[in-house]
Amino acid sequence: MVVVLGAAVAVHTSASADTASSSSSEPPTPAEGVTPIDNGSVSHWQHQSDARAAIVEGFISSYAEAGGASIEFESIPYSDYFVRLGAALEAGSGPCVLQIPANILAEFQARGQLAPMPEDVMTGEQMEATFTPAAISLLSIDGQYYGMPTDLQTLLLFYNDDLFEAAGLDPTQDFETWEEFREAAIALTQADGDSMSQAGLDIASSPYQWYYSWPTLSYEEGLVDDETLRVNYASEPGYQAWERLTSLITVDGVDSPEFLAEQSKFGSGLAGMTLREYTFNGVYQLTAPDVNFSVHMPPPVTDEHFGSAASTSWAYTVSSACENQEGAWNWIQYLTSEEAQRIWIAEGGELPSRLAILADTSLTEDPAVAVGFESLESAVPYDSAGWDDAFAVQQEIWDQIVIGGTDVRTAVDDGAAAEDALYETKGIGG
Amino acid sequence: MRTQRTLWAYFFLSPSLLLFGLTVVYPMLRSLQYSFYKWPLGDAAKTFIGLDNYTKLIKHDDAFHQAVRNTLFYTVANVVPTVLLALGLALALNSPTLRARGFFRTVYFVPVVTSLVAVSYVWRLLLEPSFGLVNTALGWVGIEGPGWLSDPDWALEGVVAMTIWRDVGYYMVIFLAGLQTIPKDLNEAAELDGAGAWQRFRRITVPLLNPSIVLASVIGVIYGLQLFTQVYVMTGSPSKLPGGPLGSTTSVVLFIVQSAFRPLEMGYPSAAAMLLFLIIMTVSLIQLRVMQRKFDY
Repeated sequence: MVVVLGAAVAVHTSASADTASSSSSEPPTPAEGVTPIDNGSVSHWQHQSDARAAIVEGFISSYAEAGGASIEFESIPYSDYFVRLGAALEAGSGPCVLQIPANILAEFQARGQLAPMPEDVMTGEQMEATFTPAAISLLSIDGQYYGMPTDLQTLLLFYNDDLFEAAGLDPTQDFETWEEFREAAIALTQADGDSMSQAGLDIASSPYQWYYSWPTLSYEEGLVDDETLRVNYASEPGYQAWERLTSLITVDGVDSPEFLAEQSKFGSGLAGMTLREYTFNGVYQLTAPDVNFSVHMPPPVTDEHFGSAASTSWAYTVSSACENQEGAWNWIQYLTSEEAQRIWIAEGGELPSRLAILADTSLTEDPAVAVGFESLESAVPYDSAGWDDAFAVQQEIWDQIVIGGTDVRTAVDDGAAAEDALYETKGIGG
Repeated sequence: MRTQRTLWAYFFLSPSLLLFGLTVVYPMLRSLQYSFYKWPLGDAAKTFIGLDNYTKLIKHDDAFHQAVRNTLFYTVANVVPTVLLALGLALALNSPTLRARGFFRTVYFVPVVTSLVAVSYVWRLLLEPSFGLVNTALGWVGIEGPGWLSDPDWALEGVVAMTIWRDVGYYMVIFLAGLQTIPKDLNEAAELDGAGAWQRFRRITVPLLNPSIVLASVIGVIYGLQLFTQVYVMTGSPSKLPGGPLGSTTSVVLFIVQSAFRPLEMGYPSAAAMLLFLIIMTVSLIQLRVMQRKFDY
């Protein structure tokens, strides 16, 4: 979450808007053809990311050149984004088009703040035929779609290949079992006297990717019951996921909260592995050019393991208070069109949510990109019905176990109860 | 005539009063109103729940209780040493025999004019447990430094240390201004009468400096009870929400902000804001009552 996607920078993938061919197999039902319209300006807010803001600025120019409306674009620092958005929507001065995490689309809809997507933009059937399920499963409420997907990411395992080889491990292989993964993490950990000098895993400074992934992948239907909106991870698979995850620190000591606290150990070349969003493939190329890394599918953790990787995504939605609904949806269609998505992939570090692009083999010459595409084949969306608030609950579980020494079941039970209570507070659960 | 002058006074005051009313009084009244409701943003129903928010905060919300404890601890741990240190510095830098007084005054005041956000980032790095400068320096003298911001037992102390470093210059200036209003002849007369330095400090300087001490303490306590920025910057990161670890640095203001803008629900945090207002008002009144002295010379 939290703002990792805000850190997205241009990636060096083999994909490019200019070079991408359309040698892919056809999607089941094509849903394309965006003709920009100009029936009044459209305001658009999203949280700040240099790369994403630059891409949107480019789209604004090309949209206007193609006869589209003027777009009043604001890119707002993540730390202020939800404060400003909440206050502005309440005051009736919010934007027409807003970017929100797919996880809280239902919450905004429950408050009456979102407009349903008109059928002439795309029908439900067209959405399902056009986009990968991981990207849209949280965008539909009672069969009605309220947004179109953007910034789709899967959480993948990154190896420091040099450290793997130094530890006698093979950096070309994915882990087949939890034990293999755990033993490699232990082998990659080094100490200098009493002090850690190299972490097996870069996990303590950014654990959320880990606890988003593994409990999510332990349940076939995700972490939250769609009907009751109650969390289900206070049960055996959840306990096992949290137990194994936290024991990496509490038992195996493959990382420590006090070793390079809050720093990127992996980016500094001082960690053997890390679990990060796909976009970090580009981030590390730019910010850690000396780290020789490769990208892999995450290991199975629990005894019952569903899907290839957990995913997160955001959505472009339209405010119910927007007076120019037609213009707003037209702009979103433009932003999420196939042409646009190829640019998002090449310059914004995104994974394709469109099935047509996912099937385009010309984009997957880079092995890291290929892993990203492969991970989408059976990705399971992290489906907590909250964002920073649900994250806070789950971070508390982590801290209670890892720092506070609370036993796993107690911490997980308390967290699940707190998350249920949160959904009731928000008026979407219970 | 008098009535007319009063009316004119109100006329000239009206722009300020209007602004004050719109930006302070009105939001406070709305916040008071929200505090009796479950008030989600948007079109969702706003439900009157009486004192339920207050009851839950006072009786049942452990996170709020922890935030109150953290805030009170921070305030005391910050204000007392800051005021004492600033007083000592002011006395030293007020000495006519000290050379380069202007230089030292500037040095101690510089942190005050730097951005709180910027210095919070710098201190975050200084307090990094494994390679940070603070623990490295402690290591030079054989002390194993704590985990600071990674350790729930030390995180708030780290925030306190940074704030003392930053604020001491501000209070030093208040005390310097106060010291320069004390007539020199009082000290000279006392010295002629045989009073020693300690006696002169205790019997003349401290009583005459009382208004400055009260001002510094009251301002310090009010600022302390509104702790937010340092915690937000020093303990939050792109991958961690501020206030941790384990809520050990969550202040009341941070609690209010997080309660409001995570679930976008205004009633509960409004009640917390009202309670914070009561705490600040009560503490400030007690401080003024206890500390303020009338002193004539």
